[in-house]
Amino acid sequence: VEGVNALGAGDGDAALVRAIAAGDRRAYAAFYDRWADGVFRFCDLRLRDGEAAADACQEVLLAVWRGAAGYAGEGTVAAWVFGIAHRKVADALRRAGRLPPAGDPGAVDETADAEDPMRAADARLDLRKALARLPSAQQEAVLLAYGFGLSCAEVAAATGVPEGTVKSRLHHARRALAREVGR
Amino acid sequence: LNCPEARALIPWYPGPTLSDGERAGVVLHTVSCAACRAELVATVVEAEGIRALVAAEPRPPAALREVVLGVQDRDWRQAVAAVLPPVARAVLEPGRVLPQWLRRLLPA
Repeated sequence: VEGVNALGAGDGDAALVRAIAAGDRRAYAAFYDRWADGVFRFCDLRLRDGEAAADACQEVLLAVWRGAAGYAGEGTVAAWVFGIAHRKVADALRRAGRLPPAGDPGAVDETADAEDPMRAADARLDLRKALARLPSAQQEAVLLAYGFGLSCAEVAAATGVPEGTVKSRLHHARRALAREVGR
Repeated sequence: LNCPEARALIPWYPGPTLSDGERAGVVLHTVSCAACRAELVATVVEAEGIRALVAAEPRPPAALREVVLGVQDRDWRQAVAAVLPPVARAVLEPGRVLPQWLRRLLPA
């Protein structure tokens, strides 16, 4: 998927969310078609479990339908949607015992080293494995910023932390990735 | 820009965070600074790699669209039925095809 911001979403997405808040079902179908791929891929990369990712994706997209009226339009739609995805993924990780109950953002995912042999031939394997080994919050920051094209302010809004924390997480994530892939 | 200033901006060179002026400042600095130029190149390559990783992810199951839009349709019918007089609610039962005259009266 292209970074969602790279799709030129912006005003078009905000208008869709306003229409959804007014009960427009066609606007919701259009929103689904624009966002389902990105939301699912984010959930799948974070959870590394297609079934759990589909469940989380469904929860995120239904939360958009049910909560569109709560979108105040102050931040971008990307920050709002990925904020919902951030919380749904955290819930799923916690249920699976992959995050401590307190939601320690620095917690390392202990299942991260599990290797999927089907991907062994993939040239992106090293990066994927390195990404999977990052602490959860760092992984999320680098995915949102580089994988989905969110700005620093949007990542901060989506993950509920100050921009300085996002910068720090990205910095540490990049150092760890560079070590892992032998840069 | 000096090196510390450039290094603070370079991680955000990919993406929409930096202003045009900041981006130009980074590029200008890297013309004369090989270390920061290498860091900029590595950052861009890394961001492209993450982006490619996301692009290579599978799409959601095709059935998910039907499930999500089905739940949304049920929600919508319940919400509309809640504001209709009892005699009119039956036409909004899930799965029932609404007559055209009624569809025109209801929100899309």
